[in-house]
Amino acid sequence: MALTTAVTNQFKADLLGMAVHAAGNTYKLLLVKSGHTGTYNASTVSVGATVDGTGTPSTTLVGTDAISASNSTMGTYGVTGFTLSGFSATLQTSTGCLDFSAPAAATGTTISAVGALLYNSTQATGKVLACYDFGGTIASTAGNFTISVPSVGASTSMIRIA
Amino acid sequence: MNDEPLIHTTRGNVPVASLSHAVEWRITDQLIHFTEIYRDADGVIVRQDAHVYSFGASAKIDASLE
Repeated sequence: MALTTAVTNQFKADLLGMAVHAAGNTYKLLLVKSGHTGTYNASTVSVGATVDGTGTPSTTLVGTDAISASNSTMGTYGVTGFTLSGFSATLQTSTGCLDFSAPAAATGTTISAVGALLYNSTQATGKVLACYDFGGTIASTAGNFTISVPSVGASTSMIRIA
Repeated sequence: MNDEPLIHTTRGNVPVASLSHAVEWRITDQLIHFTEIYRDADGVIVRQDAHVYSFGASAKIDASLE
């Protein structure tokens, strides 16, 4: 199935509805496994109330598409994803930008992932803000899996709203 | 004292000097992917480190009043 880089429609609606994603919330970056069965794009809504690697994937549940002990060697990677810190909402000229600091590398992992979902884990259903397509499978074997984030900028930030 | 550098692999900790090391880069308009690959003498991958740099996602919100 497909995974497409996009800011989700749910996040746009939340912004316009003033259902804000607060700086004090916990945000996570969840890897999506290679061979996933769900579709992830602008229509993705949430990762689900519980992220434990079980359940049938849908627009509201990542379920078995998450990296979990049943399909990977987790090492220091948690089933709920990388925890992000450094929430930063800025205006770059006329573009609203949302950024985070790069999470610590997951070590001792054997993971095959094709993308990631940025979601708000403070919200009960884990609403997804954006989907990121890796453009292919990225794999680690008994090693590190590292996510680096782009610098803040109107054309580079993690989430950009023009 | 044996201070030969070791590295963690699928076969436990082995001397890093016993492995061959290669890197691969993949650069697209969405991300940079850097991979470090360690192979044993038989060419089997015993460790692979993956590093991803994503370029983010964009959206456009327009205002209209007619």
